[in-house]
Amino acid sequence: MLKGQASMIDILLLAVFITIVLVGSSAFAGSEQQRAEQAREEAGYAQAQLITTLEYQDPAWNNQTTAQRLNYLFCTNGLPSPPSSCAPTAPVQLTLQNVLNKTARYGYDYIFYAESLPLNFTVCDRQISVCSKNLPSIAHTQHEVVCPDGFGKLVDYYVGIWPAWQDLPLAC
Amino acid sequence: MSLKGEAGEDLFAAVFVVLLIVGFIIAVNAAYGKWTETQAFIYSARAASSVAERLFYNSSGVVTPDCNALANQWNLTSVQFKLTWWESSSPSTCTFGSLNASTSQSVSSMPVLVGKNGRFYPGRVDVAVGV
Repeated sequence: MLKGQASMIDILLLAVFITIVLVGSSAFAGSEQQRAEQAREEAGYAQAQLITTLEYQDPAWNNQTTAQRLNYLFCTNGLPSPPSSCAPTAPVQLTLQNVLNKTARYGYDYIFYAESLPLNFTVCDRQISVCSKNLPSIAHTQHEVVCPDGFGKLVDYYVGIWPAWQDLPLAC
Repeated sequence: MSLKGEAGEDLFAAVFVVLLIVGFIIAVNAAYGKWTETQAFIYSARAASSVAERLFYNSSGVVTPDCNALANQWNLTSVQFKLTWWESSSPSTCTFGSLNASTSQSVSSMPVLVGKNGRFYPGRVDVAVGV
């Protein structure tokens, strides 16, 4: 009788152990799925932000083609009149910097990198890194720009977005 | 004395077995609940990000500041979304459906440009889908 009870308890203990493993693995698989979904969403956001930034127009830009704007951005290695402070003053002057200020996510690090021609953005309290080397970035596009010397140049540029609490895939 | 001891052991064993069975049922139920909850969340998160991406890519990132028109244009019926844009230092908004910060909604965002009177303003669309 005692022997039989003991083996039943053993089986139940084993069942509890297996259940604990199942609960743990379910939680782990679930969190991995959530992490993958978040990464996918972040990738989409980063790409959209790049497109939005490049498509941004204001009166100073309306008469320029996308190629001209890219040309200006990449070949002059800077942004037109970036505000020195994030605090907008009235009347608010919306610049490319404002696009980033308004739409960039908090708590994330951004990397903008154009091959050979680095872009240097600053988003409020975040200094966007400019890398001197290629990154396995999550958004990559290629455009031909015409530099002031008249020669066309095919430029690869990348945008990356990572949670600030995570290390970059490759240190800059 | 010995019989009393055996009876006590039997009672202990019976209680232990009942506790183990109850624990087993609770654990299985918790695992199943957690799994279904996660799947529901992921499903709604994908739906929300899918709609947000559709709003962005269908219009090349430029939208009009009219949420009802956007919903009609893309036949969005079972989602809620909020469009926020900055024409000045204070944001302007429009909403479609009731979007509120609650744990029963997955929210996905996309940056957009809001086209109004020939000008483009930085904006963001937040799409919510119920879990």
